[in-house]
This record gives sequence, C-alpha cells and structure tokens, in this order.
Amino acid sequence: MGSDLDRQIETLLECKIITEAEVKELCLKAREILVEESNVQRVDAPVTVCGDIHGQFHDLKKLFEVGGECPKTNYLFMGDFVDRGHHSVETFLLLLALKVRYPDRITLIRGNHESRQITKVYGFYDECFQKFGSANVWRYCCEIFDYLSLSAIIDDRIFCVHGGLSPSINTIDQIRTIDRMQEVPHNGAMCDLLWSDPDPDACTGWGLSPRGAGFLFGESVAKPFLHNNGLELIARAHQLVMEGYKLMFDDTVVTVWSAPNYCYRCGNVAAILEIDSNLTKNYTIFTDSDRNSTNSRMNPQREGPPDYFL
Amino acid sequence: MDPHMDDQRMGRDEVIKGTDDDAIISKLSAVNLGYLDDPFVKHFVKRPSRRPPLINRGSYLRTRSLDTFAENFIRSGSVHSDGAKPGSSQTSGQTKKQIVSLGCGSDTRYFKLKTKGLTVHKYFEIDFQESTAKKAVVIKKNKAFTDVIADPDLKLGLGGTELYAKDYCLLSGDLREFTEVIVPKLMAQGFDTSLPTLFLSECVLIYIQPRDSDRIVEWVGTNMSASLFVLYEQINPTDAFGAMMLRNLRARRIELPGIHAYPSLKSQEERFTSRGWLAAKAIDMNNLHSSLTEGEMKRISGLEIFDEVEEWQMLASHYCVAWAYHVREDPRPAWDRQQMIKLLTLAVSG
Repeated sequence: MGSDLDRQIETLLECKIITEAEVKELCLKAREILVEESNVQRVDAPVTVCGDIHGQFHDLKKLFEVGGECPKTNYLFMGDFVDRGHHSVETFLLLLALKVRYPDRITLIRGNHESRQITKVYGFYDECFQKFGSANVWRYCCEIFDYLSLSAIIDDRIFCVHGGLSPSINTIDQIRTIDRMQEVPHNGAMCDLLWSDPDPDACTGWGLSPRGAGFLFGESVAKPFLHNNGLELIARAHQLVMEGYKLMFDDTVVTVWSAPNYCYRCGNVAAILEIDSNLTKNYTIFTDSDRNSTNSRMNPQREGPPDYFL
Repeated sequence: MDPHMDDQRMGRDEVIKGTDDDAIISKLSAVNLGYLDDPFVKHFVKRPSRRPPLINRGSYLRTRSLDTFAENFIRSGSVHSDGAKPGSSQTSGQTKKQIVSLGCGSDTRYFKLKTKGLTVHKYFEIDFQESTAKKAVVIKKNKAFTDVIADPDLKLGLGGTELYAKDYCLLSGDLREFTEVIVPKLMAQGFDTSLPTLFLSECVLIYIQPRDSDRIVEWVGTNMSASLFVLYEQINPTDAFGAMMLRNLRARRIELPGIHAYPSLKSQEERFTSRGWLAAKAIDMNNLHSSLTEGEMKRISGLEIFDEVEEWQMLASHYCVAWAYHVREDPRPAWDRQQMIKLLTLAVSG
C-alpha cells in the first residue's frame, strides 16, 4: 500500500490525475485519519502555516520549494484548497495523499470553499466532471470535506482557522462541541469560523459581512477572545492580501494568503508563515510559478484565460 | 502602405471584434441568472456559458448603468424653441432626441428601450462591417427584433451589412475614420446635429489610439448643438492588478491603446473638460456598486453566492463609467440653452 500511495503522490506531483478508483480508496483512508481529529486539532511547532491555495497547483509546488518538502517541513493548511484555479483536483488530491502518507506532518483544516454548494459555483465541480467524466470524484471529495477539522492550535498559543471568530463562540471548548460532519451551514458557529473576516471598522465588535455569511469582527472582540483562551495570535486566511500577509489589531490577528497572482489575475504575492519551536514567526513571500502562463498558452481552451469585462 | 503593417492592423481588429463575443456571452450569463432582464441577447449567442459571480455582477452593473443614462436621457424634459411658450401646442411633448452607439457590437439597448416604450427620433448603431453584417442578419430574420422595429420599410443595405428603419439605423464603419466615413453615413441617414444626442461607448474608445478617440470627442463637442457622452472602459493600468490585466489581455492579443492616455477617473473627466465640455464626471465600478439601493443589492445578492469580495473590489476599481455633456454657445435652431443644459443635467442626475 505504501508504495501505491508513493506512486500516486509522484503522479500527482507531476500535475497528473490518478484513477477514480484510486481516489475512492484514498478518500476511504483519509476518512479513517480525519475522523479521529478534533475540531480544534493540536499541532506542535515548528510548523509552516499556509493560507488559500485555490487549485493553483504550480504555485503549491512553488510553495513546497520555498517552504521545504513535506514531510521534512511540518505543514498546516488553513483551507480553500479548491475552486478558482485550474488544478483543484490535483491540488486537493496531492494534499490529501500527503495527509494519508504523513498524517503527523501535515494538517488540513476546512475552508469555506470545501463545500458542495460553493464548489458547484466556483469551479471544482466542473473540473471534476471535466477530468473524470462524472461527478463521482467530486462526491468523494465532498464527503472528505465534511471530515476536515475546523481549526487548529499550535502549542496552545496560536489559534488557526480559515475565516475567523463567531459571536456564538467565546471559548475554544465551545468549538470542540460542534458537530462538524456536515455540509457547511449557512449560519451558526461552524459557518462563522469558515466565513468571518477581521475588520478595523467593526467598532462595536461585530459587523455584517459583505459575503452574506459569517461576520466582521473587530479588535474589541479579537483581543478578549485571545485573552480568555490563553492565546497570543489568531492566524487565518480567507482574504486576498496583495502583500501576502497582513497583521492587524496590534499583531493579534494575521491573514496569510498563499495563492500568488490569485486567479492568474490579481498580481499579488503570496506568503507562508513559518513558526519555529520558540513560536518565533517568520513570513516568507513568494511569487507565482512561471508555469502558469506557459500552461495557459499551451491549452487556452481547457484552462481558459482569466475573465475581464471586454 | 506597408502591407505587413496592414496585416498586423487587421489581426488586431479581428481580436477587437472578438471582444464583443466575449461581452455578449457574459451578458447572457447575467441574464440567465436573473441579474438582467433582456429577452434579445440570447439570439446573439451560439454557445452560452455561465460566468463567475463577479463577472456576472460586473456585467449587470455596467449594463444597468448605461441603461439608466439612456432611459433618463429619453425621459428628461422637453426644450422649447425660441419664442414658443412652455406648454404651447406646437412644442409640447418630448423633445426629439437621438442616440448613437459607437462600437455597438451585439448590444440590444435599442430593443430593450423601445419595448419599455422609450423611443428616440433615431437610434444609430455603428460597428465594424463584419460585426454589423452578423447583427443585421440576426435582426432581420428574427420576429422578436422586427416586431420591435415595427417598420414595414425596414431594409438591409450595403450587401447586408447595414439596416435602415424609421427610428433605427445599423451602420458599418471604422471609428478611426469617424469624420471621413462615419459622419457622412450618419448624415445620409438623417442624423441631425441640432438634436440633443446621447453618444454611448461601451469598452470601445479604449481599443483605438487616443488621437482617433480624441477626434470623435472633439467632433461631437464642436458639431453637436447638445450632446451627452457616456463611456465605460478600463482604468488604472499601473498598479499590480492593472499591470497583470494588461499582461493577461496581451496574452489574448488584446491591446488597450487608450488606457495610458486616460488612466484615471480624473483624466477621464479631463478628456472632455479640456476640450471645452460643460461638465464631466467619472466614477469607478465600486462607486456604482455602492450606489445600488438596498433592495436591489438584496435582490442580486440572492441570485448567486458571492465570495469574491476583495477580488471584486480590485477588479471594479479598474473599470469606470464617465459621462460629459456639452451645449454649444450658439445652438441651432436657437432654443433655450439654459433649458437644454437643464435637460442634460437631469439626464445625468437620475
């Protein structure tokens, strides 16, 4: 089995797909591992924390070049593996295969795009259909999405979540009691963790989100949450940051964005957050892979150019 | 003429014509999802395709914004001729007006407006011959269109590349030859420089050299008694997103020769005010977005999930709607200049 899995990882690393049967098998194994994980997965430093990837496979490979290969480097990915980019299938399956192969060296938590509803709108569903001729692979992956953990805590000090905080949650223990094995709901604690954004203008603490799900949370919410839970930092992803990462609220909240030139259109750089065993933080910036442009030139029909208004 | 240069130019023109196909597919996507109401657009699309939510939202905003200008322009009050008293019988009712759509592509605005009962004295559409030929065929063979035109004398012209009807004309021509070719064609079809006229340019002027687009703006400002110009196009080419936009478009062989001449909201206004136009204003698509009523925002938010907030804001800051109006010092015939200015002010304040 180990060698089969290694071979699949090799295939996926070349940005090639594995068979539907192999995907099914991989998902079964992943499920056994993920079901054991807590809603707040414990992670030990040193660890490298990454934000949204969004199917930008060649940029994920660049991330591994910059940050070191898994399992040599211990990784925590904060969700949004799929949608938008051209290679959600290869991206998610590679991360999942690494998870099955090295369960203690890579942590995957759920983003708001790891959802049936969102992937039907933003590309992963269509890509699965296009690459496998049916929706089966999409279905297997969505089942796995339901098993992904909702958050992680590094050395009891750094809380990692895709979106942010929720007005229904004051303590980490409250997150532990969520029944997460479901499609991301439209409201409530689980939804908020995956959808919320920090906002300096949310003076009263909470604000309405322009995304139509989750909330905006302000400094007056973030700091007490950290204090009450004995934490020093909230690391989250979810929002495009042109500079790759952005610290807010006196360095108590950081956004990490790991999709360079997002959607092959935004011109932004990406970042990863390397946390060493003393919890010292180092941000490494990287730009997009050269392979994005060559590939879309080679195959403009399948991959499609980024959209503009013409 | 250097034949190689000519080849290059022709190649670029083909690409520009292709931008209409892209735009009309985006528009149909927005129609099919309920953002826009337009029963005509489907006739121009062979292979419909669903676009991402932020493209749908942008197509909706752009179309809605220009629709609103056109509707307000048509509805805005009447202007009375010299000597006639307001409300007197021979001058009461709507002032005769014209609309000229520059680089119309497959635009359906004439049909949408007329279906709503909003008509003008004459609506002119102009585009490359290959584009008008395709459009003329679709219109001529579809009852959906001919019923709206409602003119038994509707006829094809110039080898099927043009259409002439009582209140609608589809004319072929290259906007780079505006004064030499387009203007005489307009005149031959009853274009009247004394009538208040709305000029629309939706992602068009930016595709031609600034010297050519400037000539159009100058001609309109000099020759029309009263004119309103509304354009929609890209701005901000130099920030990271803008630079990537130019790179990506170039990979599709699309150049935007006009973007560096008018790269900002301010310069878009100045392209008119520096040529003596009375007033000009440019806003970006984020402004348009935030000016939606709460009810309308709620309606479109309910149509699709929208999880592209930051990207949307960035994309939207690279597109603008600019409008300007001008009334000559010596309008002919000599109607009340102040009233005309009031009319145009109303048209842009709607």
